[in-house]
Amino acid sequence: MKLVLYLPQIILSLVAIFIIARCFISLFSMRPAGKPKAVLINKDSGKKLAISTYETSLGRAKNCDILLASTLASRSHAVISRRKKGWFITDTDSKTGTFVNGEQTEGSVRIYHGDVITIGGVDYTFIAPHAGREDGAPPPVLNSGVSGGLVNLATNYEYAIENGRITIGRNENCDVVIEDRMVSRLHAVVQYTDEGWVVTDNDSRAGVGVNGYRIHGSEPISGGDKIMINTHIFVFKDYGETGRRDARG
Amino acid sequence: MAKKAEDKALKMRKPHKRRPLKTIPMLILLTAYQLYLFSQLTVTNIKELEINYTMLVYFVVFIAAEWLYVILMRAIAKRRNFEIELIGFFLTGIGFAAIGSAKPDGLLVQTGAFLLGLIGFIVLVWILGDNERAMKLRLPLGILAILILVANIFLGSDINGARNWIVIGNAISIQPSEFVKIIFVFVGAATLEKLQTSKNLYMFIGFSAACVGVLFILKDFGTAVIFFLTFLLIAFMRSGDVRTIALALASAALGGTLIAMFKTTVKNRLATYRHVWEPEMIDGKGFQQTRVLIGIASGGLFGLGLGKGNVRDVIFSSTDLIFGVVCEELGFITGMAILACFMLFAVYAIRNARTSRSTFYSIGATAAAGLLLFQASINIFGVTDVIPFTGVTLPFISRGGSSMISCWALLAFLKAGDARTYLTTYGEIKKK
Repeated sequence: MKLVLYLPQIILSLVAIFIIARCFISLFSMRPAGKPKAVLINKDSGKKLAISTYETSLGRAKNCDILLASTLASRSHAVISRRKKGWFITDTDSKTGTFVNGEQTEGSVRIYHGDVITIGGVDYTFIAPHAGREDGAPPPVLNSGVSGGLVNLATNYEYAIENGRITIGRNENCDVVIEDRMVSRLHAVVQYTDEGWVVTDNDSRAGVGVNGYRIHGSEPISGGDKIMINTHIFVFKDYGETGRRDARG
Repeated sequence: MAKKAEDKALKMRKPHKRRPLKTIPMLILLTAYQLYLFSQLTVTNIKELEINYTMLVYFVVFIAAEWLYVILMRAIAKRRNFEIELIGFFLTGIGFAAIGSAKPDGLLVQTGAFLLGLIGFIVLVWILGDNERAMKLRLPLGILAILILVANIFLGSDINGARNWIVIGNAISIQPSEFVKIIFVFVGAATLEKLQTSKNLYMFIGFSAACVGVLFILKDFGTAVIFFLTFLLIAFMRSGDVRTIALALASAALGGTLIAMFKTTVKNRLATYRHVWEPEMIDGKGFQQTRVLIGIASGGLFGLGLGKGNVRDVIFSSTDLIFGVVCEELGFITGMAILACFMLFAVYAIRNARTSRSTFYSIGATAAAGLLLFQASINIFGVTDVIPFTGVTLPFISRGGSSMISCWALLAFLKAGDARTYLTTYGEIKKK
C-alpha cells in the first residue's frame, strides 16, 4: 500500500530524469559537422587551406586555426570571418599588414570570391563561389546547366543536378526517386543557394544524414560529402568553376 | 574494399538513431509533469476538491507562457530547436513548485519575473543575432553596469547583511547586481571577441575590477566571487598569448585584493563551516545547513511529496535553502538532476565553442554557463556545508524576481551560441 502511495513520487523523479536526458542528448548530438565553407589557395605552391569555421584565425602561433609558415607573418596575423553579409578579413595588428588585391586593409574588410589576399608576403586566392560581388565583378561562377551530381553508392548511377537543384523522395515527380517506404514523398532537396551548396531536410520522417551526422533544416555541403537518405547513400559531386560534367575530362 | 569499409563505418554510426527532439511531444510531457507537481499544491483537499485558486492562476499563466513562447517562435522565427528553453522551463517549473510549497506569497513576483525574463530572453537572442549591433552596445552597457553598481552604493538598502538592494516605494525591491551579471557576460564576450585587434581588452580587466570592487563595498561577497570566477573563465578562453598572461596577472592581483578585503567576513563564515553539527552550532549558526542536510536525508531518493517537508519552515527556505526543499519534497534524484542541468550546460557550451557562428557567441555561452554553474555550485555546496555558506540564489529555482530575469537572460547567451538559432537570420532557412 505504501509503495502505491509512493509510486507517483518515483514516476515523477524518473520523468524528470527522462526530460533532462532527452533534451541534452538532442542538444549534444545535433551539432552540425564543421566543414570547409571557403578555401585559400597559395598562389605559388597551389596548397589549399580549408576555412571550416565561421571565424578562422591565421598566423604563426600554434593556437591559430590556420598555421602560416612565412616568417613575415605575425603570430596572430588575421581573422577571416563569415558574417551575415558575407566574408570579412580583419588584420589583427600584424606587423607586416594584410593586403586584399594589393591594398592594405584597415579594420574589417569584406572579401569576395577570387580576391587575392597577401599575408606575410605570400599571395592566397580566396575561393568561395557563393561570395561573389553584388556588382558582378568578378562574378560568382554559377552554372545554369549541370553544376553538380549525386552518385548513388549502391548502383554507382550519377544523377545530374540541373539548374542548381535536385529533389529526392519517394514521389515519382522527384528527380531522384527512391522506392522505400521509409523515405518521405519529398524527402530532401540539394540546391545551390547564396550560401553555396546545401542539402535541406524537408521535415522527412527518417531524416537526412551528412557524413554520418543527422542534420536539421539545411546544411552546407561540399564535393565528396555523403548524403544519407534512410539507408541510401549518395555522394555529392561539385563541379565548381569548371562547371559542366562533360568538362571534367 | 576501402569504400565498403567506409560505408560500413558510416552505417555503424547510425545517425538516424539520434533523432532530434520533437518539441511538442516533449512540451506535452513537461506540461503533464508540471501539472502533476502543481496539483499537489493547488488541490488542498482531494476528497472535497478544495482548490487554491490563487495559486492555480499563477501555474496556469506559467504553463500558458511556455506554450505561447514555443508556438510563437515556431511560427514567427521558424525555430525548430527548443532544448535549451525546455530545460529552462523544467528548472523554472521546479522552482515554482518549491516556492509554492515554501512561500506561496512569493509566486506573484515569481510569475511576473518569469514573464519578464522570457521577454528579456527573446529580446537578447534577437540583439545577439547581429554581431555588429552587439559590438555597438558593449560600451554603453559597460558604462550602464558601472552606473548601476555605483548607484547601488548610494541608494542601496541593507537586506540580510548586504547592501545590494534598491527598494522602490515599499513594494518593489530589485537586486541590481543580478542585471549587471548579464552585462558582465555581454561586455566580456564582446571585448574578448576583438581580443586580437583592440587594446580594449584592458578595459575589460578594468571593468571586471570595478564590478568586483563595488560588489565588495556592497558586501555582496557571494556575487563578487561569482563575478571573479566568471572573469577567470573568460580570461581562460584565450591562451598562448602575452595578453593572456596579463589577464592572469590581473586576475591574481584581483584575487589578492579580494582575499585581503574578505578577511573579517571570511572569519565569520569559517566559524560555522564544517562545525554545523557541533552542539552549540546545531541550533545556532549552523541551523540552516543542518536542517537542509536532515531534509535531504529524510526526503530519500524520491522525496516526500510537495508540501510535506520540514525544510520549508526554515527561514530563507524559498531563497538560499530552496535546494533543501527540492531534495526533501521531490527527492535527491530531482536535486541531482538540477545540478546535472548546470553541469551539462557548461559541457555543452564548451563542446559547442567551435561550431558557433562567432567567438563572441562561444565566449558568451561559456561564460554564461560557467556563471550559472558557479552560482549553483556555491548555493548547493554552501547549504550542504561542503563550502562556507554564502547567500546566493539557486538559478531558476530560488525565489527572486531579479534573479529569475537574470537567469533567463543568461540562457539567451547559450541559445545564441547554438548555430541552429539563427538559421533564418543567415538565410539558411528561408522565411516563407
